[in-house]
Amino acid sequence: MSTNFETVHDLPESCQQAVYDLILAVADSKHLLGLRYGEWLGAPVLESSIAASAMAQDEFGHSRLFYSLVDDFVQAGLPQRQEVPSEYRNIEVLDQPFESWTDFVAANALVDAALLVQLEAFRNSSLMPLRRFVPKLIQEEVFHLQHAQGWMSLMTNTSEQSRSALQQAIRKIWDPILCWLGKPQSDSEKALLGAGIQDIDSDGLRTRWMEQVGPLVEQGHLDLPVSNDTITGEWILGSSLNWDGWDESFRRASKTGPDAETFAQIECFSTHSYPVGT
Amino acid sequence: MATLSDEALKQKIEKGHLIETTEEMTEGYKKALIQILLVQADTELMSAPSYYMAARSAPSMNTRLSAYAVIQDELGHAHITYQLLEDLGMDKEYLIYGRKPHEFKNPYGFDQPLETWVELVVANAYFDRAGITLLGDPFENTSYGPWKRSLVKIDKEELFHLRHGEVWMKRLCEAGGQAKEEIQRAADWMFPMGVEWFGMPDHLKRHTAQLEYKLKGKTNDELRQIWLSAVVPLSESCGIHVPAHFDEAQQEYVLDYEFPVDYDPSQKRWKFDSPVSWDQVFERWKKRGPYNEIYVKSIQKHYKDFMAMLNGGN
Amino acid sequence: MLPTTLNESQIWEALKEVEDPEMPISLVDMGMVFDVSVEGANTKIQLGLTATACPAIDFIFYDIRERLKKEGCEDIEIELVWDPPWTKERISEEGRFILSTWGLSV
Repeated sequence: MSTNFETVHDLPESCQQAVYDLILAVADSKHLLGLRYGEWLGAPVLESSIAASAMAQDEFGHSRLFYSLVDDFVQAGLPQRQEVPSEYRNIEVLDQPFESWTDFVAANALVDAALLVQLEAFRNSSLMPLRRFVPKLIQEEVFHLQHAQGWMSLMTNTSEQSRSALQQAIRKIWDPILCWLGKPQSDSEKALLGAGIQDIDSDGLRTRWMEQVGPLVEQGHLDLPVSNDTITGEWILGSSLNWDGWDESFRRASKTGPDAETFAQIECFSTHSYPVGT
Repeated sequence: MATLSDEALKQKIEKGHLIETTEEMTEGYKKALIQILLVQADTELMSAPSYYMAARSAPSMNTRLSAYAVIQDELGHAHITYQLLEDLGMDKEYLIYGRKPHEFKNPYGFDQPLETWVELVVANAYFDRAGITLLGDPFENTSYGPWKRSLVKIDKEELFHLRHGEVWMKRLCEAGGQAKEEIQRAADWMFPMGVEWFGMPDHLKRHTAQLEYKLKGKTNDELRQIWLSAVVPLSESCGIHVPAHFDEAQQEYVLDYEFPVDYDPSQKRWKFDSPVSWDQVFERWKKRGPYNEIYVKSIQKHYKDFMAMLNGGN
Repeated sequence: MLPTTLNESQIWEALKEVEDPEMPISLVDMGMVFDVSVEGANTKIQLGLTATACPAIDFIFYDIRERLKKEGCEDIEIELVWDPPWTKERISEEGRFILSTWGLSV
């Protein structure tokens, strides 16, 4: 039975950095995902423009909660992140706007699923403030995946063109998202598990992710490296992940961060002179 | 179509009868209804890209969230209103994705770039006040039942936008300095834009089909007065100067400039010393403002390619 | 400062008059007020937001404080509760009726 921590101050020093890194990676990813979703006033149907805006707000709302934990870490003495693109730790595929609605659908399914399984792994977290807000976030995510599923099934059932475009869009972001769930046996994974911050290791997260995404891939007859073991029913990853250059603390391989136009939107939070608080 | 004559329909409406179906309408009624709904739907829709442009410079997560909530509401209102048009036999999909930019009927104010979060604040205070004024009227007075009912939700949500605008306008003005200067600069071009929003004065155009069919109940000047009576005191309480005041003798708000005047969209500047005719105003509106195409494109950009691909083309 | 004379049920009554800024329905009927406790002059309110992305937090806090100030409460603490999360089941019968007149079924 591991100890629970009422505040981030109570965390043992040995795991503080690893927890901070993960919280910041989730906060930044949700922030950036919100910006990306919010760009889609021009979805192919108005209902989805509305949905995209609603999902953007959910992501911002979630990031607001994660950033409040980040602030607690800074108060506990961890260094404040510098406001430069290269210090941002969002999932790499969110650095630039989605080029097409197909890219939106792919990210809606894959990125949201990754963030969801990470949230699920916090359900029994020893970090109490995190554990308290996580169920509400998970509740809100349900709609995101339904939205993605609706579009995926439309695209895989309507024409060969749309099916293969979707397949291509998913392939493009497949690896970075799977890596984002964490490097097996890394020091930070050990720290997170040891302190009971999350209750499942990175390979376990990937299995849960495949349980979300796998059925969609199978139903849509998409050619992607994931398969269902006919005997055990388990989802198995069909290719090994490329960890070259991977920085586990940033959960990224490249440190470029969001593109200039995106960063300009983020920077507004720190460069303005209005009396707005946070 | 109705077997009633136009006159008989108007009499029925005069007695307070609500029209519920197209079968009850005359050609004239339906045409006037479509016209007024299209203006509303297009206005709601085009406010979204314009507010989005401004939301990009929101100074905090909370303010960005409020801005996005407003954008989502506007898209939702557009959706409700295009649905009303579809129920009248129009093609919703074509209306949103098929028309050319200049065919959209939104006011000139939403053809302008909203460049900063401060402009969004003032737009919420001034433009959404115009929206509430224009939609509060049919909510009270319209003879078309489905429209009236749809406005319950829309008007309440617009009140949130308004409050968002007014609260931030007050806070930023209280802070003074650069924030207040920015509000003043925004008000300088947005206030006269709001005045113009309500169209021609009554002495030039009084009887319209929209009034005769009781699609709305108030004249342009009456609506403009309602708007001025909210916006002028708000601005004054913030210490923001606007070119209008309450005239004790006339017991109404009057403008401090000859209306209408010329506008230079490239400078976002009204030329108060250059009065123009309404024909010239209509010409400017018809030419459209600088962001008409950009905003329409931002809504329509991906529709064609995606649908073509979905349907098996390239 | 005089200590507030309101008891908890009076605070609940007052909060029934505070509307959700986005809907014509009170915070209480929305089921957003989770708990009210009064201790001396201090009033503590536990509030559950319908969504993490609530764009109106500012307004809600302000409206609660203004309404309770009218009753003489000055020392007001508002705490956001996420556990248990707010769900639609918390909306009152009256609230459901109002929402249904809005075309929203819950």
